Amino acid sequence: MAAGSGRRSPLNRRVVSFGWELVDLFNTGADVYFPVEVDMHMIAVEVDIATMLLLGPGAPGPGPLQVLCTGAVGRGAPPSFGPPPQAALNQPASSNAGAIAVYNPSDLDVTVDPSTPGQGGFLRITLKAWSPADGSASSASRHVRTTPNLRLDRGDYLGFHMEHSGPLVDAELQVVIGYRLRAGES
Amino acid sequence: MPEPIGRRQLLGGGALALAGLSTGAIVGTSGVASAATAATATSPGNSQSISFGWEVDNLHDNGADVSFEILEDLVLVAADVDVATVLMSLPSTAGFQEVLCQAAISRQAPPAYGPAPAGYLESPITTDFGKVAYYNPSGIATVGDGAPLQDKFVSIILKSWVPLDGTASSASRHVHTEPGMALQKGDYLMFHMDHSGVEVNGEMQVVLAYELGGGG
Repeated sequence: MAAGSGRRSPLNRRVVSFGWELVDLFNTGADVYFPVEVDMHMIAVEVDIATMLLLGPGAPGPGPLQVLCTGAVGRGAPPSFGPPPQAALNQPASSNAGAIAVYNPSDLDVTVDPSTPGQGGFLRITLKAWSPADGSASSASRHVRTTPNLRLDRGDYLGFHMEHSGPLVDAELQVVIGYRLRAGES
Repeated sequence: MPEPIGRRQLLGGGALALAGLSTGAIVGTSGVASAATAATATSPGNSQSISFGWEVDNLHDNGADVSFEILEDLVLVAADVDVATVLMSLPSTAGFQEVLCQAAISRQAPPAYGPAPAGYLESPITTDFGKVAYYNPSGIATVGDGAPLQDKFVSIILKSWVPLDGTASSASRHVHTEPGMALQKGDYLMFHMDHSGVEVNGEMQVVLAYELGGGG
């Protein structure tokens, strides 16, 4: 076999990137998605996400700010979404994992979502910060590198979601995806 | 409900506390498969991922857990855990806040938990390592596990100071780990958060990458 060809050849390795910003997130959410056009293995995903106050802490005032960011595969069809204002990225319940049980001896206010682990989810990040009266240190951010190594077929979709609660913020998601073409693989 | 006992209060006693351990509830290690063996039995084409999140809105010197059953033999290739805390209202007094976040496997049985209010994961003491020895010539107030615990694959500690105006009081972490461990049908994955200090909201988001076929 000639150097540079074959199943794990560097010639089959590719990278793509895109960015997405929501300028006025305020107790709402939105999604982006795009189709997979060739058969591939999605090897790695690098996500950089950051939030900041945009209009100052007085709009609408001090308090907790939270942004949830998720990413998931839509198998053979565009993703579907939950109802607004959050418009969460829906994921089918996994057949490899059972329903989630909660042990809550102190009767805390516990929320689990989804009730069974969602199949195809490859990214979940939760940003949280307190926004004081003067806005000091109210930004939150994360850089995440994950290696899902998921097989993607032409016709699948990749979807990304951000939703928010608290003072109005700008939130931005920058994504780099490393993948390997499956053409020629056995 | 028992009075909450913060880890700082335990420190005040000057005694060595064994966090996460409960006498009478320790079981031996069993069914620990070789990850190396299991990994060779899987195929890259079997790669899958699942995800979920959970949130506790009023963590205040207590804890909670979630778990689910594994329905197919698989190899847990990687886990991404994102955790963060935030005040939900301004505190009446300044203070610290800390949240311990852990994940573990319960082999062939539903999870067992320690007593309230913390509700720690009851992972077995490993038989592959000895007990933890502490050398503490200055008598520093110490809290720690008495022995390494088997199959606990994520352990994160968030800590921050909460001033009266809440500035910079949040804490967070994203952890990517690659345990490469075999899980069998009937095992459980369990996740834990417990807290001490100023009341906070705590949230854990989880992504698990795995390959079907556990290598039997």
